[in-house]
Amino acid sequence: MSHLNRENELAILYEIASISRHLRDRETIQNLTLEKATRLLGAEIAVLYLAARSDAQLHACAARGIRLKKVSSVLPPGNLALNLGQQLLVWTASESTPFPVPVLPAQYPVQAALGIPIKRSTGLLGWLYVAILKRAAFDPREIALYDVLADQIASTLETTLAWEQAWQQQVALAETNRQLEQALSAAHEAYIRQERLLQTIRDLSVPALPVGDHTLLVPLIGYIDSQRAQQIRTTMLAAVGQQHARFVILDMTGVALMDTAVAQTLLDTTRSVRLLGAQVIVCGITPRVAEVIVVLGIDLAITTVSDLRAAIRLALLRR
Amino acid sequence: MTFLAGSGSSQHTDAYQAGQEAATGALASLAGHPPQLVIVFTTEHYDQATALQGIRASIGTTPLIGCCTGGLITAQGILERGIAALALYGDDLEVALALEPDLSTRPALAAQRVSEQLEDYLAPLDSPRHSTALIFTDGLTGALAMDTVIHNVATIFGPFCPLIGGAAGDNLQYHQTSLFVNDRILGDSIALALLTTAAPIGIGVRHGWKPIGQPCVITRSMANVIYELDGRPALEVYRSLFPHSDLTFENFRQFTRYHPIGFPQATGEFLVRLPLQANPDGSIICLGMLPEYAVMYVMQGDPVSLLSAAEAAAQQAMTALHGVPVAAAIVIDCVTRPPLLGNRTATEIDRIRAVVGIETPIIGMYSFGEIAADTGPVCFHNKTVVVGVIGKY
Repeated sequence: MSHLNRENELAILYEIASISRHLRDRETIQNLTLEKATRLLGAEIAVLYLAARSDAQLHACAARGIRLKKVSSVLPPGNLALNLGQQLLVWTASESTPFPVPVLPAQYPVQAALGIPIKRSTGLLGWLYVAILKRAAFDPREIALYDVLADQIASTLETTLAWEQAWQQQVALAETNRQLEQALSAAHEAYIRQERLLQTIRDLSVPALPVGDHTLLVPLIGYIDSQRAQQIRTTMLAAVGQQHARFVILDMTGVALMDTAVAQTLLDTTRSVRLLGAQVIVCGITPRVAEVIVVLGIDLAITTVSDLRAAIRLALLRR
Repeated sequence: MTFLAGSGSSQHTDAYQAGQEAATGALASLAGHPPQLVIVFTTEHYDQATALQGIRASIGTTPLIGCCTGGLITAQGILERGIAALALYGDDLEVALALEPDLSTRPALAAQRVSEQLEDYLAPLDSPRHSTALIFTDGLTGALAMDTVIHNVATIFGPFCPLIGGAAGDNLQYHQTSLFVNDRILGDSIALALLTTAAPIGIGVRHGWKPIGQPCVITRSMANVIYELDGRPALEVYRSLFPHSDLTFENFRQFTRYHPIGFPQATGEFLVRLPLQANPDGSIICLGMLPEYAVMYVMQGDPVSLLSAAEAAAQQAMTALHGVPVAAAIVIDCVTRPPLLGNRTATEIDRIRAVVGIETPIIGMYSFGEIAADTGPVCFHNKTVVVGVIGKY
């Protein structure tokens, strides 16, 4: 390293500093870290550990010069890991190891190694282990370059991690939005289906059935409220117009109850039918409904007969 | 213990005859010992399958590894056309071979597969023996893949198994090449031999290129393509460094052989990359991956610096033997060095042989990229010479 002139050292520093331009993803930073540590700075073995959010341990995530499965996969948690983050550790084969756990298998005759914390003010992000086998030691300028490398990696990693976190949040938000939109869409479809069903029910509840030429039968069943009374009115008028009916038999045999407003609506409907040139024959008024009509003082002023058979006979007679 | 080596070569025009002659010559120095590995280099002039049949006729079922090259380095001199063989025998020598395709399409996977086939044969760390890997790759299809392959093989084998090898090629026509392991012949592949022995191994790596002019910064690049230097189109900047040259798209490859680019490394040596092609968009394609946002120099060499580098590589290799006599030498030399060396090309090999011993059996290839470690980790080199020597215990 002593043979390295100042100009080339600056060139190497420039290349190291350019790592911050590679704000892509964690894998790119890992590869760049190992590439710079080995090809550019000359380490024969490089192992990169990164801190995991889940367990506050340092996990070996990438290596060059040795298989990842052959290095210590996790560096110890707690104080030992914190100690790794305190300072750059320098070791040569003649010294006792400063590393809390052996990174490489025991048989590896490594001549010198460095343990370099990758840290920011927010904490320890990772740890870089580099080793050489052909030379006896790293010189101070090399160590300084590795220190700069670790600092650049830390800066780039911190930004990338923040970006990844923001991206993950965006992805989660987009997923929530998608689920909401899906739920809204499902609810809207259910509403549409329900509306169609209700319309079918409404259509079935007020049928206008042709019985003979120019005669319509409108059987009413169940409780009639104001909404259903309007439906009856609409259906009857439309059917009279479409089928040119001259008689409309309103069969109220199945009507359990009606109130004043409903009775009034039906009366208005019969008047409207008359304006279209048809006559309304009401049949099947139950005693209870008749009682309501009388009690309420409604003057129906329409033809009434006892039952459906009488109504049909009357319609045939008048035709 | 005994470790023996023998080399042979042939320029016979017939592939079978050339293969048989080269192999027979290699076996002659083994004093009747059966070879345990034969390393073979050929040139593209031969039908490779026929050449291997000729070699087999001489060596029988001996494990064989090799490739087609841009030229041969032999004891008989540099051969632009021919077949060369090196036979090895060692009392304790164990050899395991593997060949894996898909170099260019799945380099990481191919490297993992080829290494894992041999991983179990690695010498244990507490053994007096040690393993060395010979690696050959397709230099015509694998320009982008070499670094990935080397990192993966080195990671699986670990730092105690040095890698030495090169990228196969042709005589700079960039058509096609082949790699051999036993009787399999493939292109776009990785050939790997694991040699385990107590015999010492020495490796030397040097290129001899020096930076010239002011540095540039690669401001935009991807993989092996430089798009911008100092914020301007790469070709424009590269061309501006040679204002009096007649650099064109057509002669770009010939021109850059004399002016590669280099990147300062902490070891003091520059990582050299060969610009291969200029594109109409002003970008430059190089041989091998490029560091992004790195400071780059144009490099310059001359016959004196290149010859000195070759000698230094040989000395570096010999130093690692600690005085043990040499059994064999292997040279991996970039195919683009001879154009600069001109009529001194043979001198480069003479300088190497003078260091490793003129009688030492030798084999070498002109390569499309060299693979070895200097003082740091193993790297893919361009325009470099690598010398490997095996000691006799």
